[in-house]
Amino acid sequence: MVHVELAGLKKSYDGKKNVIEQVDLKLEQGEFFVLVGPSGCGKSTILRMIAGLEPITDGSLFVNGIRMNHTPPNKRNLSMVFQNYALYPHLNVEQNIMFGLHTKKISREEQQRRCADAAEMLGLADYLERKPRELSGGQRQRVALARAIVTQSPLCLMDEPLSNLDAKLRARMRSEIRQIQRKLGITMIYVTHDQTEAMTMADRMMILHEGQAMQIGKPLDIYNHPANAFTATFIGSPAMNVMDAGINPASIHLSQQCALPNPMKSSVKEASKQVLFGIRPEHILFSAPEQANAVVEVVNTEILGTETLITFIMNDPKKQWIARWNGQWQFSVGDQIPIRFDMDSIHLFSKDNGRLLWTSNEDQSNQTAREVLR
Amino acid sequence: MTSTKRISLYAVLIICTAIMMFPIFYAVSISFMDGKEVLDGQLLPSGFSLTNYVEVFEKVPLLTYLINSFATSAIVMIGQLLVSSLAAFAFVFMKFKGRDFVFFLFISTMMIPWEATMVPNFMTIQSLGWTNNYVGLTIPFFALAFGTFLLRQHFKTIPKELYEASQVAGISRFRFFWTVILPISRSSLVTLGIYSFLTNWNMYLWPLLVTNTESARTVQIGLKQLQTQEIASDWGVVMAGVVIVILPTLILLFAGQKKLQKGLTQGALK
Repeated sequence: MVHVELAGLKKSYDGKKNVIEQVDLKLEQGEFFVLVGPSGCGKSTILRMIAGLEPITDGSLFVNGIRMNHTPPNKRNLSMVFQNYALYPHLNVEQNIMFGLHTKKISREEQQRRCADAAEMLGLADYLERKPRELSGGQRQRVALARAIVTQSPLCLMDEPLSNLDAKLRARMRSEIRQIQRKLGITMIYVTHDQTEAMTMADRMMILHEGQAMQIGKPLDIYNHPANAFTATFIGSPAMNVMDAGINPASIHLSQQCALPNPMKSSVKEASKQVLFGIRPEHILFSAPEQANAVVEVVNTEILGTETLITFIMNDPKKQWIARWNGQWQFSVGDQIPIRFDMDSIHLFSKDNGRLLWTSNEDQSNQTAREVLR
Repeated sequence: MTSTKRISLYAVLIICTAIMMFPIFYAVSISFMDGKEVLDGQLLPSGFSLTNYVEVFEKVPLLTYLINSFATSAIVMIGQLLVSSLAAFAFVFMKFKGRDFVFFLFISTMMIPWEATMVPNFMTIQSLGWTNNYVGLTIPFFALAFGTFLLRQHFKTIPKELYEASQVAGISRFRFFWTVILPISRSSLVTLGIYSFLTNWNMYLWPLLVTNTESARTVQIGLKQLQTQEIASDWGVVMAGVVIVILPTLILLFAGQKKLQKGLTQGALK
C-alpha cells in the first residue's frame, strides 16, 4: 500500500530558481526510505515540505491518497526527530517525551503508559527525572526518539539524527533505530549526508544532487548499478574511481601505456571519443605480470587490518586511483606493481552529462548471487 | 598578581567605593540627626533617634505614596513584560511580510526622547479622563521598544527547531509561548522586569503631570513636596524619606544583581 507519495514536488524560495526540481516518489507502508546527498542538495527541504514546516511551491504531497499540501504539520499524523534533538531544556525527560501528547486527546494514564513503554524500549527508564543538559549525546538522541515513538504516528521523519554522535555510538544507534522501525512497522523517511548510514539502513533510498533526484532504488542495486557518475562516486567508500578515458571502437585508453578492450564496440559512433571510465576499488586486482593491464606506481597504502587501500597513479600524478585488496599488503611508496581490471565490473559514463553509457550485461540475479557468495 | 599590584588595585577600588557611597551614607546619617546637627555639618549623628522617620509619615502621606509607587511600578512591569515578550515572540517566530521593516520602525522609536512625546501623551490621557489614577500612570509605558529589543535578541538564540517540534506536536502558538519560551527566557525576563520596575519607581515628571491629588501621587513627588513644603527644609526628615524611598530599589538591585548583569550582557559575548 502506498503511504506517502510525492508527485512533481518543487520548491523555490525566490520564485525563479528551483532548489528542488521535480521529485517523484512513492513510499510503501512500513518502508525505511533514506534521502541522501551532499550538504545543500535539498534533502532537508524535501523532508520539511513533507512535515509541513516549509510550503510546497509546486506539485503534490499525498498521504494515504489524500492531498496534504496545505495541511498544518500537526494534522499530518507524523512525528519528527531533529538534528539537534529539539528537546525542551526546562522540562525533564518524562515531560519532554509526553510533550504535546495531550493535544491528541489521550488520557493521562495512557500517556504515562506510552512514556514508560518508550523509555523501557530505549533504556531511559532511569533517567526520566533528569533535565536534557544532564544527559549525554546518545541519551538525548534517545529522548528525541522516544518523543517520536509515543505519538504512535504511522510516519516518522528524521533529519540527520545521528550526525552529532561519535562514530561508535552512531553505529549502535543505526541498528537501534532500524530495529525499532521494524518492530513498530512505521514508515520512515530519514535524511542523511552519510552514505554509510544510507547503505546500511535503507530499504530504498534516493540520491539527491543540487535539488535533483539522481537515482532511486535499493542500496545494493544503486551500488552495483549506478545510473550516473555522481551516484557512482557518492555511494561507496572509498569512492568509485572515475577517470577520463579515450575511447575508439576497439579499445579504451586510460593512459598511453594502458589500453583495455572496448566492451561496447557497436555503440561507439565516432572514433576517439572521450568518456568517463569507472571502476570500484575492489574490482582493481593484483595481477601476475603477464596478465596485467598496467604497471602502476604506489603513492600511499593504508592497511586497515582485514583489507588494504592502495593509492596509485598511472602516468598523470593528478589522477590518483584507489584499489582495495583483502588482507595486509605492504608496499613502499614508489613501488611498481602490476594490476588488472575486472572487466565485468567496469562502468562507462558520458563525459557530457555523466549518464551511464555501458556496464557489463550481467543480469540482476547473477549479481545478487555473487553478493551472497561473498 | 603581585601583592603590590593587588594592594594598589584594592586601594583604587576602595577610594571609588567611598566616593560612590558617600552621598548615600551621608543621607542615611542625616536621617538620624536633628536640625541643629545637620546645620553644624556633622558627619555622624549623635544618636539613632527615629523621630525623623515618624515625622516624615506625619508630614506627607508617605504610605499612600509608597503604595501608589509600588502598584504603578508593578503594573508597568507586568505590562511591559507581557507586551514586550509577545511582540518579541512575533518578531522572531512568526513570519509576515515586512516583519523586519516593522521591527526597525518599532526600534527607531527608541531614538525619540520621551520628553518629546510627553505633551501629546498628556493630551491623550487628559481627553480620555485618565488623570489622577493608575491607568494614566501606567498604560502609556506598556509598549517598550528597548524591552522588545532585549527579548528579541534572547529569543533569537532559541533554536527554531523547538518551535517546529511543537508545531509537529500540535501545540498552539500561545501555549508554546507560555510553556516553552517564557520559562527558558527567565533570566532575560527578570532583567527586564527589574529594569522596568526601577525606571518606573524613579519616574518624576510624568506622575507630576497626570496627578494632582494626594491619593494618586507617587513617592518621588512626595520627596519633592517634603523639600518645598517649608521655607527652611528639615533635612533630617527629607533624608528619612529618601532612605525609605531608595530601600526597595536597593533590595531589588541586590537580589537581582547577578541576573541583571547576565541578562544585559547576554548576546554581547556570543
